[in-house]
Amino acid sequence: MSEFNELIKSFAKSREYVRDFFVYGFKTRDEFAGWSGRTYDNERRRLESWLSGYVRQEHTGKGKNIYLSIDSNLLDTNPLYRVWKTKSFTDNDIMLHFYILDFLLKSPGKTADEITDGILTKYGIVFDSQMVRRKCNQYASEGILCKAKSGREVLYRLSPPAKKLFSSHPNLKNAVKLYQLSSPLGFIGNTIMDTGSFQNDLFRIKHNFFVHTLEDEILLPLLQAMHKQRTVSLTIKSTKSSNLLTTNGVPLKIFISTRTGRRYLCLYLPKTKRFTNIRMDAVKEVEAKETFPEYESIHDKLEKNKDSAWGVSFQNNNRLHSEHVKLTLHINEMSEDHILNRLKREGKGGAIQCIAPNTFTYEIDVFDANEMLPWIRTFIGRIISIESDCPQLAARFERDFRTMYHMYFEE
Amino acid sequence: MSELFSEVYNCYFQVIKSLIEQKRDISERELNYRIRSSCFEESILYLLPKLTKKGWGFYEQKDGVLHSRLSEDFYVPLTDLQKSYLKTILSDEKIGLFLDEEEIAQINASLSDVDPLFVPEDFYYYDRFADKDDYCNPDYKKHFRTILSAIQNRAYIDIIYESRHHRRLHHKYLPCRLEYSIKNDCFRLLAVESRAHRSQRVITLNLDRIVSVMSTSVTVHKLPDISRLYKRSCYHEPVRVLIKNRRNALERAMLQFANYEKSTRRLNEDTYECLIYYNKETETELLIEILSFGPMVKVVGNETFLRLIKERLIAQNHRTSSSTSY
Repeated sequence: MSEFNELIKSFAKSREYVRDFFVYGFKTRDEFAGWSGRTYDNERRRLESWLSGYVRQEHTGKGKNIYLSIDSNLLDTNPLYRVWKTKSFTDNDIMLHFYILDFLLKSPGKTADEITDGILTKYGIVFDSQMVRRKCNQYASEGILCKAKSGREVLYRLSPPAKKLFSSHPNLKNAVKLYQLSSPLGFIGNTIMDTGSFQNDLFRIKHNFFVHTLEDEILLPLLQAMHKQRTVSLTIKSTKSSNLLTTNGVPLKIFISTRTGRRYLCLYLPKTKRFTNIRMDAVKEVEAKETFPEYESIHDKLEKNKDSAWGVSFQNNNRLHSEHVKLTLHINEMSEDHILNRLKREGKGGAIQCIAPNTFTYEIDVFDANEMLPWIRTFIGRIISIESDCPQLAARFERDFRTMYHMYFEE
Repeated sequence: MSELFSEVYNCYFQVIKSLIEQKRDISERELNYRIRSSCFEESILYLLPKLTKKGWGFYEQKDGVLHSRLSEDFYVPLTDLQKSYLKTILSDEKIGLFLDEEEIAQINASLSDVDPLFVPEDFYYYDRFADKDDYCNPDYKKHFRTILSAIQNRAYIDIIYESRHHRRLHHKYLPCRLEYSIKNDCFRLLAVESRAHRSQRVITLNLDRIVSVMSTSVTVHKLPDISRLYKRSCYHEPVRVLIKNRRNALERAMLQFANYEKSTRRLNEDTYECLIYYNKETETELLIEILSFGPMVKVVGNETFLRLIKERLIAQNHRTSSSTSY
């Protein structure tokens, strides 16, 4: 039986576990389908170790379940970044890391053989010179070391310290404190705080979905493919059936909802000549393929079209190019300015008109009117009418409202 | 380009680096404390023997004290991935709040050997509010920087603020944090009132409504813990909702409410109970978020919140009954 180790080799499995613990927070051991009991125990123990302080436990009739309780408004950083800091390593990895960097600090511009000898002399530790060379090359490719040829020799030296950059531009540090919380791939900003030995003592974040960081391993190659204008082959796990599917397409943009916490990849499908959005958390693997010659023209087309999508859908079930929606709302002109402001700032440029005292209309054309339903429901209490050439919209609203009314007053 | 999931960013590497940077000599007891406070819960079991016994050899033990064998000025350079990230944030419009154009150009030049990881246009926040703050406004920038520096100096600020009802208010506050909202694309100041007020509470002010702000010479030794103050402001009774797992509602609700401190349990095959903690400031936002789920989410408590939901439903029922347009 192998010994338990809190560090891990691959991120993929833990990503699923952390997501389930974080998002759901009620699954017991038996409800984690697809994993053995022992795997569950180990993953749970790791999670408890990595995220101690945020892990809560609850005993239910079905057994113990653990969940993550994180209020993103209250934290200086995203605790889920810790999951990225769990990569396992060997004794040689960590020793070479510190000894090579320390040796080159005082003796810059050395060959791998000289570094090997220097480590033996200075610290009394023997390493194989091939191993030292491999580590130096790895660090040179990561930018930690600089590598230069001198005749037939390859010399290594340390890249400049971050301290230099931050002391010349002290406000850059403050910017990193904000962006590590607010920007995509914020984990990297957080590692810069580790490297520069500083913490966020200035900012808080609101309306952030910390769970997105778990998709960053997928996001990074997608962004690289986008910048190189390449097509990609994606392995996608169906959210309904759990089956793995492969899709090929051209990645164009990342669509983010600031309200629902969902993040999508906008993909152009050359076969059907359509845009589609795929949930980022469903993408399991990305493989970059050949460049797509019409990338720029397709990208421009998306730019022209994206504002007509209410959310992430580019088509409707009614075979219409776009669907017209007209809401008539009761808004008290004297005291409910904030509702009009909501229509203006959340209504994606829809036209607002006062048609009678305390009665306003809001009109917009969108690709798929059904996507508006959750937003329309937020005006419950003041909706006088919903008119649309998408007949399902008003019908669904009415049906759902009746169910709600029954649920609260007649059950 | 280095990978995201790399041992270079491993927590063990970071804690050792920080120990070496900060102290030449350290007692085993302090080492124990430092590992426990900055690593994972179980790291101590593995890490302590490697640092104190014949493990990795970074320390020499003499008279019960550990002496670092690495240089005093030891440092780890930035990786290309980190440099690319720095270059990336330089193209965001909010960077102008921190750096002027000349500085941005200088930093860009010093990062000339790497490419940015993305540009802002790679992302589209499709339901973001339209009335974002104007980050290019010189007054806004000035206010932002004054507040930032006051937080760092733990100094009170003298502030003139225009309220939602266009009234000018003059106050002295102790600024604690700047809060950035991704949904509103705006900053808010989180501050506490002057010491004259007995019970401290967090005041939230929109940065774009600040008319003027000046730092004062009055400072405090320590900023109050606003997380604790915020938690204290939460209602004793959370909202209790039942979620029917139909149309994928459970997953949607769990993700959407992931922003709140919450706990969930399963009641039966397709019904789940979720407790969501909130305060007066977030009440309306939470209310409309819950309404957006329609019949998939039902509020069953607390009484105050339930009443708010019912009031809206009654009003809607009244409008529906008197309208024929559906």
